[in-house]
Amino acid sequence: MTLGVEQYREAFGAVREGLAGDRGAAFAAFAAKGFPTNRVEAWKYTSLRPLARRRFAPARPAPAAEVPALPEGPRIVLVNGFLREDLTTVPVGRLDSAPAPADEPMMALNAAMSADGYRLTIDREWGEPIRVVHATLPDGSGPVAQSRNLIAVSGTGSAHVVERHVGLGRGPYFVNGVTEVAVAAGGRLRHTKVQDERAEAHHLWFMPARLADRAELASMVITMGAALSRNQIDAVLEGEGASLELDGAYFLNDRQHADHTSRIEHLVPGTASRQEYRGAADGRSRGVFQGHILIAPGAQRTEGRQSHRALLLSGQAEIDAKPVLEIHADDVECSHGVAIGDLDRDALFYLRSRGIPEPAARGLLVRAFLGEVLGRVGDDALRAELDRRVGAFVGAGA
Amino acid sequence: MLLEIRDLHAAVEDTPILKGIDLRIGAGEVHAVMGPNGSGKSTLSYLLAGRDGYAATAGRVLLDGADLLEMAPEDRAAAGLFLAFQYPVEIPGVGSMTFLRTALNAVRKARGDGELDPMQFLRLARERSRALGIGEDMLKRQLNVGFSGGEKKLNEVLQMALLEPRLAILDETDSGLDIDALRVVAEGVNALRGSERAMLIITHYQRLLDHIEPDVVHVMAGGRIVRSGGIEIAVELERRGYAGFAKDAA
Repeated sequence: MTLGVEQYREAFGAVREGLAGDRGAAFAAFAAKGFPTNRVEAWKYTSLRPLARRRFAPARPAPAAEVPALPEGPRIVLVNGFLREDLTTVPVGRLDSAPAPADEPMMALNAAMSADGYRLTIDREWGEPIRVVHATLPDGSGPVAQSRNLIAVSGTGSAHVVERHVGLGRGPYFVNGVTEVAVAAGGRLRHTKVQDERAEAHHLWFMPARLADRAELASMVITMGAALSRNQIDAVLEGEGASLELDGAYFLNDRQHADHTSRIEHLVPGTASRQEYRGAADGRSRGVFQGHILIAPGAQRTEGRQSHRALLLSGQAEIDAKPVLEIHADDVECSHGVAIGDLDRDALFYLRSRGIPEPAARGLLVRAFLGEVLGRVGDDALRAELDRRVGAFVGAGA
Repeated sequence: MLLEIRDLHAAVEDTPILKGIDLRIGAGEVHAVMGPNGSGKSTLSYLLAGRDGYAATAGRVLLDGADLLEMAPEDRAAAGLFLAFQYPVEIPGVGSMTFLRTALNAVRKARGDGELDPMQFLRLARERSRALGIGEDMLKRQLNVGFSGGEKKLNEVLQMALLEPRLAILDETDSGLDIDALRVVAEGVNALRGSERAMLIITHYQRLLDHIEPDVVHVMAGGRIVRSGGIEIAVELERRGYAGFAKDAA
């Protein structure tokens, strides 16, 4: 018996008439596997069994919902996974056909049920960031929002897209979204994801990305919200000279569970990827990092570097890390490193010996640790905000 | 008495290291504790500063009459204790100025002085750095990261100058310094001598004492102070070596 299939078959049946294209194949792909549990290798540290048991209803458009703190400038706003054209200031297309089915069951569920999403084409240089707000309104029904989005960058395009995920009130909700990224030959995209969901949220997000010749993608994922979350990046470097940077920072507390999974495929010669993730886990939280680098046969002169470092700030917190290097070529430079530990005791004593109370000293060290990655956030206001948020997380104030 | 150590015993991982230290230092005095490796000098300095894993098994330490051993490290700093580290710790990602301001304001707050605003702090930090010949660029760097041995020790002296301790402990301050750097650091320390402040210099070699002249010299061996006197003891040590003193102690 596959998990969660009955519930979602019913929900799918209720909405499929209104969806663009035929979604039967996508739902079948989901139903063949159901919600993954930790018996599935790719979900070894993150079981969706509890999530599959909860009742959620397909989210509906909320045309009147107020979205606070909307950013100035170019922006795209979605509520419950539906585009809010009245709040969007950038010309975008919308989901108008059936997405391709996927092997990954939760992506397949999204392919089956997604009703809307933005399609952004970047064919020029954007001087200021394009800000995307994904808001979900928990209305008591336990809405599940499943938008399907696309960022397509042409050879003359260059932009910074900041996607931010928030909740609009208390109560459980479930987000199962996809942002596809395609960067054409010579195109450049900087992508920043800020996952700032409410405490009762469940958040799964997938970012499949394809990079053509000399394409550049620099991704930064910041995770601080949701009870349960997974961010999965599947990047394929299929053009020579393509370059990929994946940075990430997470800070967790209470019983939060956050999973960062990535798979990078180097298919052709002369490509490079660099990945640096840093995290801090306090309370009874759990952080998961899985990073898989695949270098295909013949993909010579490839560089793949991966690093994940995390701080365990309490005796009950847990970090699981699984780096995998799969190399089928000989002329490559690859490395990976995982380090998980407590704060440096010598550094902590040094600060305290100068009169800095222990909580503030710990705060300085955690901020410094995460700051090594967060310092690369390509937006001054966001960087300052994140520094304040980390400050609040460590209780040291800004 | 500014510092009073009474019959102090300490063990590190169940091994007795200090076996009954008695030491009294008055305001304005500079004392040196000399001893060979393993004599317990560093244990004494870490114990006084409150490092994890260093605990007294017997005895008392009073700083201006307050029980030092009961206090957390940050409270000792607020009470006026300062340890200049033998190996100052490099802390990537923490700016030197942020660190100095956080430390100074924490200590000022605990002492009941007002916190300094950023402009007041900047003025004070610049003034004290200039007096030590520390350039602005050093203050812009991350704390101790990539500092030379001399820069690290100078940075310790700068912290001392800002935190204005009652008792400064200098742990092997001359280690890793060439003669020019040693002279600069010693000048900085000497400038901080004063009638309201005491210093305890922990050192293996006499060399440092040529530059910072102590009022009293103690020789430590086997976890005890085996001899106390004037600067002539340091000279005698240089001649006879520690072996001769250890024999006296036995």
